[in-house]
This record gives sequence, structure tokens and C-alpha cells, in this order.
Amino acid sequence: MPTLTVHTSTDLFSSSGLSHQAARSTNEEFDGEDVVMSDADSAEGEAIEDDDDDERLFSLDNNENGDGDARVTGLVKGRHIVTPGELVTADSMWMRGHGTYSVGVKSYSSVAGTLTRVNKLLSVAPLRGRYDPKIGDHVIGRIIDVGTRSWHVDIGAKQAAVLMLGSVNLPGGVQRRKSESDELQMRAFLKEGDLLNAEVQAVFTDGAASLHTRSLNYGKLRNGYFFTIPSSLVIRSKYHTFELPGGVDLVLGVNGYIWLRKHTQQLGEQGVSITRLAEEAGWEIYSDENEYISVNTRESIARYANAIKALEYCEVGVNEARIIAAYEASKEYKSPGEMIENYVKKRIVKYVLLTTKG
Amino acid sequence: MPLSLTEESYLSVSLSQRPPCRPDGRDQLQFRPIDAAAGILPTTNGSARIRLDDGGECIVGVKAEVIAVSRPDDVHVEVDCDIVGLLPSSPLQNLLCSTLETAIKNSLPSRLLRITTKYRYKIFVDGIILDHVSHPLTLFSMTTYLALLDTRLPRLAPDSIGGNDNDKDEIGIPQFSSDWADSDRLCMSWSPPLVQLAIIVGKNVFVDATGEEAEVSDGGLLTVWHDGRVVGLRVVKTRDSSKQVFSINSISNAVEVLASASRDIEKALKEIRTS
Amino acid sequence: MASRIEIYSPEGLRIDGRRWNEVRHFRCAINTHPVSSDGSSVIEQGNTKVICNVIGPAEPTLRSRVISDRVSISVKLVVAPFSMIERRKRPQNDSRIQEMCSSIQHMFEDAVIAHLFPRSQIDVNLYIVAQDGGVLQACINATTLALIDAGVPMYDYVCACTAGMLDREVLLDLNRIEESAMPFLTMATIGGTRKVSLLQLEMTVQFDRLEPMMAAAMSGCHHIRDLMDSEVRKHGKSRLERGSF
Repeated sequence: MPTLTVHTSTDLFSSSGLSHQAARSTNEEFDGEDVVMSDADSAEGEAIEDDDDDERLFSLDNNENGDGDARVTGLVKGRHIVTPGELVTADSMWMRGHGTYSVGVKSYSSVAGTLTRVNKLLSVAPLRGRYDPKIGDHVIGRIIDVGTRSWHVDIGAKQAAVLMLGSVNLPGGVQRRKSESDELQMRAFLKEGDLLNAEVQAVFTDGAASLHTRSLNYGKLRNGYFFTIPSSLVIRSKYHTFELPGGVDLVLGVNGYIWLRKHTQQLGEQGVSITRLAEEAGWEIYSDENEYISVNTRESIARYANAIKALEYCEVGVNEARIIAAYEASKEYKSPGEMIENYVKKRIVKYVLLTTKG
Repeated sequence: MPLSLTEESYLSVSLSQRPPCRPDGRDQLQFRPIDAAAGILPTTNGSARIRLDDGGECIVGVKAEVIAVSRPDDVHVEVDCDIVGLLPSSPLQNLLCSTLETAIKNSLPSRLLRITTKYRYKIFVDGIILDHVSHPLTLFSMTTYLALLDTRLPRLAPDSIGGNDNDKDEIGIPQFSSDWADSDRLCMSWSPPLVQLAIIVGKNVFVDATGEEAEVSDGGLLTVWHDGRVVGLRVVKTRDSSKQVFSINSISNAVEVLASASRDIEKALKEIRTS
Repeated sequence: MASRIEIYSPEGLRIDGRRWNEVRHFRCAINTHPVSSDGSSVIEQGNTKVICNVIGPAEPTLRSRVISDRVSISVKLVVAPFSMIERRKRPQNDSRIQEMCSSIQHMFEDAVIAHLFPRSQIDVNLYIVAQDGGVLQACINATTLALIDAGVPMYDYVCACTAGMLDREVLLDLNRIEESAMPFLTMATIGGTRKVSLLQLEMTVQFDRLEPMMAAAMSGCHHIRDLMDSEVRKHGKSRLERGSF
């Protein structure tokens, strides 16, 4: 095995790693059929594109001749890229969503991305961007600041999220009243640097999120390893906590923050009723001590981490099935360390896409 | 970014157990793949860029200036680097610059920079570290190495070299050949020094540590490698609260590991130039 | 030194063989540093090369940078000591660099839709690795591309170009030798419109010659907008296509 692999590039323009590879930029579960343009669509697309150049010219001259409706349909169906300053529609019938701005009746795109339409609402989804919190998202965050009644949590979004003291389970269960002494010992529960998983409870008008951990699925994270991938690669699903083969649990935050840990019996799985559970929750939910983790488990965690990084390298959306497939594929390589080579990553992902398509 | 206590304990147990298990499964001696380019900037005598897969990136440009000197045996080399996000003359920047500068000065024979008896080349090595997640020393040293390999110094114009040495000295400022192809590689007979850093965790030694690995390390050791030998070493602080007390055993272990790593790296970097 | 070289020949050719209204070789790429930044770009205009990284919008690192109703932009510029023919190390607080940073910052504060991201910050890091005239314009163009790559909403591209006046001739997009031989201005426009968001002229020019210079610079800006736009579309298209993989 070489100790160092060098990839050579010739100038400043080469991009590092990923963007040579397959890109996926939406959160939705990917379905191959969707993107393949039918001939009719692409023909229509062409027409629109020509039209489009004209539009741009005369949007300067205040001329008007485009049929807004046909234009929008064309842009949406053809999945054309719109760029900042491009006229999206001149028809006032549309509502303007994210990624657009309007001057008078005309709407322009403000980002580079694809136009999407939901009934009358037009928005442009940017090709890239930070995590945009939505209510109900299962996220992982790191405490960056401890306040008097709340914590600030980095979740990789445009602003830090807020976790109120009232939105966490405190030792002693639900019936316990929050007192002033709790406010004084905020750091005893969660302190700077601590990782936790939580659900987005609300999103403020400025886009900042408020979190809660009032379920035993959520809370401080231990017994594992943390790393991040771009949030756009995480495919949203009903659950984001998985029990994987090899004695490893995965928490796949919708924000692209990932926690791999030794599989442990979660409190909820011990056959106690949920209500009782919440009452019984003790100080151990805020423990900073890891349990014993075997060498094999540590190696499995490394293997899973590299499997997910391989998917990231190829910009392939990440979900449970693909992670497991990549893990299985990686067993061909004796040491998980071999998986850091780019050609291995590509091979693994190729295999994953072949096996998980059906 | 601080790690949580549980992360820290997970990493430190993983790395200090025997055999260790790095979070990305790498071997103790294994480097992450790098992306390298040489000769990217035409305004320099030599240039290179290296990128790591964690986003760390360094660009180095080498420039030669003609200076008049009185003491002919001095080697005039200046190494400087900008680390984005850090203030100028931060401890890290000083460490990088002074280590590299001393290493080059000690190994570069002064005759290679000689133009005439009165004039010498002065070599400026300037780096920009655009981003670093792991310790930038190895990154900066590898990029500098590659840039020096790429460095060419112009020859004197043929008509200015007439007759014997005395004639040459009478010419005030040396005239150089205007043809860029008519230049000498600085590294024809000399190979630049390579500085490598290893971190020590318990009894284990690791090369090319990631940022999080360095966060749980006891400290680091750097070695200067030149001409197939380790010619210098130094203990380095790799995090704010590191113990920085090691046993003799782990130091000699680290030196061995680094020597073998440096040999491989040197070979890999030289291959870039020839390809 | 410049006087010895013929800046503009009677046949209408410039020292690098261009006509008066031709821009230099223009190359750009976006998303070049996807791991270390939210948005990134590399621009090459002639022999001038600029790298731009954008971090954010993100939670402000300092309390003092919180603006309650809009995003706070800060621009840092690093000029590589090896970027010119003569090696020169500029300190970070060099007043010229500071001035360039603040003009870029003010311009983009108005070009991005700032009220959408209150209480957040955008850091723009620019690295000039090679310079041969038109440094400010290259920085502006690189910043535009990197912000677009980061998905930051903007009203339109901001694109910049220089134009100079030699005797009675207007020359577009000057290189370093030309810059030292004649008065020139740097102009930035909002996309393909006639709205000017930056204009800098540091030498004396007869008033009646200002207008032809501005007209030329504007057409240069529009041309550069089209070049950047086609690169962004190309990149976007390839991302979508690779998505079908």
C-alpha cells in the first residue's frame, strides 16, 4: 500500500475531489426517471432557452412580449438553470418564493439554481447552500454558547439554533419543575463543545431554528464518533436513527452532521412504557463517560465513516440502504484505511449504485 | 472547534490502544491522498500548490533576486508565509517560517546561488496557507519542496561571460539571458529539505494527523529530512493543553517513523516533477 | 520604461496584440474549493489570477459583527508577495489593500439581498496570486462568482472591467504596462443593466473623454457578465446531469 497518493493537476482551476464526480443537489429521494428528459421536453427546453436570451436583452429595454406562463412551465419542466438577475416571469399571477425577487410585476431569480413550482408559488432552489432548517428535522448540533436560560447550538445553518432550558428533559423526569437552580447549573447538563441530537421545533422568521430534545431519542451523544457531510446529500426519510450491521448505530442528521456510535440498548427498547421512561430519566442522560467500546466496533465505525465519506466524495445522496451497501462493498478491503484512496471510493460507490437502484 | 468530552475520550482511547484504530482507519504511516500541481504561476521562478482532502491548501511561490554581497559564503534565503485566519507573526507562523528557513539555509550550498564574485541570488520562498484543518507544517513543507524542485534560475547572457573571471567582475550588474529556457534548475544537484510532523498519543506515533487527532495528542515531533538523513528534530505543541512530555522511547520511535515517511514522501513528490 | 514600448500601434494593435475593444483572455471556474468554503471561484483575466473563498452566511464570530436587520459582509484580501515581477511583501494593514477591501465590501452589501439574512455574517477571502493589471476588477468578478456558488441571493451579477484613455483612444481591460502608461478607470455594473455600482478613477482625464471611457468599460462589464453567466450555467448543468448518474 502506498503511504502517499499524489494526484496531479496542472493549474489553479482544478477543483478538489468531489465536483469531478456525480453531483446531487436536492434533498428528495432520487428517482432516475425524474431527471431523464423526454425528447419533447428537451425540444421545448431549447425553444425556451433561445427565448430566454432575448428576454434578458429586452428586460433592459422594458420591452414585453414573453408569455409568462409558457416560460415558467418551460423552465420548470426543462429543469433549466436560472441565474441571478434572470427574468423568471413577468406575469403577476405567480407568487414569489425563495430565491426570487420582484421589481414591479416582474420576478427575477436571485440565485443560480432550478425553478420549482408549487401551485402558484414560484421559487428557485439554489444549486448549493447551507442547511435550511425545517420543522420536524432530526438534526445533530454542537453547543457553542451557554446562556442563562438557553443554549446556542451550531447546526451548520446560517444562524445558530436555540435550545431553551424548557425544551430539554432534565434529570428527574417530566414532572420535575424547572427551578432557578437549573438556570445556574446549565453547564452541568450541556456545555460548550457537547454534541446532541434534537428535533427542530420551530423556525423563526429570520430563519433561525429552535430545537427540543423532549424525547429519549434525543439528547447528548456519547460512545461514538462525529463528522460532517454537506446537508444537501442527506436524503430525508421518516427515521434518521438506524441500527446498522456490525454493532453500530447511526444518527444521520438532516443537517449533514453524523454520529456513529456503538450499538446500545436505548432506554425506549427495554420494554418500559414511554411515560414511565420519561419519569425515570436520570443524570445518565447527561453523562460524559463512554462505555467500553471494543476494537472491532471502533473499526466498524471507521469503516462506516469511510463508506459515508466515499458517498460524499462522489456526491451521491446518503440514506440507510446506500450506507449499508457501501459498508458491505468495503469488506473487500481488509483495512478501512484503504478506503481513503479516491479510486477505491469510486469503486465502492459504483457498486452501491448498482445494487441499490431497484 | 472544541471536541466534546465523549468524542475526546473515544478518540484518545482509539489512538492510544495497541494496535491503534484511527478514526478513518488509516495505518500509522499512511498519508491521506493529496492533490498537487507545480509550475502554476508564470510570474515566479518556481511555484506549487498542494491540497489535502480536508480542504487544507497551500500555494508557494519562489522568487530569486540579485543582490550584491560582501561575504560570499552566506546563503541568502527568506521564508515567509501567510496563514489565513491568523495574525501575522503568530507562533504557528513563526514556527513554520523559521523551521523551513533554517532547514534550507543549512542544506543549500552557497555555490548554487553564485552569479559572479560580487553578485548572488537571494531566494524568497513565500507561502499562502489558504485553509488548514490539520497542522499546516507538513503541508507547507511539502509545497515548498515541490516549488523548490520547480525553481529555475536564469543563466548569465552568453555575451556577458567573456574570457576569465576578472572580466566578469568588471561588469556592473550581471546581464541575464532573456530566454527562459536557458535557465538552470536549482535542484540539479541539491534536493530540498523536507520537514515532517508526527503526533504522539501514548505509545503510538502517527503521521499526517487530522485536526481531531491532533486535539487528543500528547504533542508532536518534527524532523528535518535532507539527503536521506534526519538532520534536525524538535518537539512541537500540537494543541493548547498538550502535556509535551514524552518518553525517550516514543521520541526515537517517532524519528524512525518520520524517517521512513519522509523517504516515501520525497519519492512521491519527485515523481510529480518528472511526470 | 513604458515609454519605450509602443502601447498602441498605428495599425490599432496593443502590445499584447489586442484591438482597443477586446478584453484579455478570460477564464473562470466556480466551486473550486468545495471542502473548505461555502462558495469559491478562480478567475484569470490575462495574467491576473485571483482565488476567492466565501464562508457563510453563518453565525457571527464576534458580537460586534451582528447587524440586526441585515447580513454583515467582511472582505479580506491577501496579495501574494510573488504575485508581481518584483517580489514585494505587503503588510495586511496596507492602506491600498484596506481601501480595496472596503470598496468591495460596500459594493456587495448592496448587491446581495442583505435583509434575508439578519444577524449573520459572510466572510469573503480573496487571494491575488498573480497580478498583471486589473486587480480590483478581477477581485470583484471573483467575489460575484463565489457568492453565487455559496447560494447567496443577489439582485444580479456584479461585474467589473477597466478602460483607459491614451491620447484620444479608448482601450478596454488594461494590463499592467498599459495601466502605468495612461489614466484608467475601473467600473462595476449590476449585471447587464446600465446601473453602475462602482467607479474609480485615480488620474486626471479631460472631462469630455470620461464618457467614452465609461461607455467602453460598461460594454466590457456586460461582456464579462455573459462570460461568467455561461460558466455558471455550464457548472449548474453539469451538476444536474451528474445528478442523474
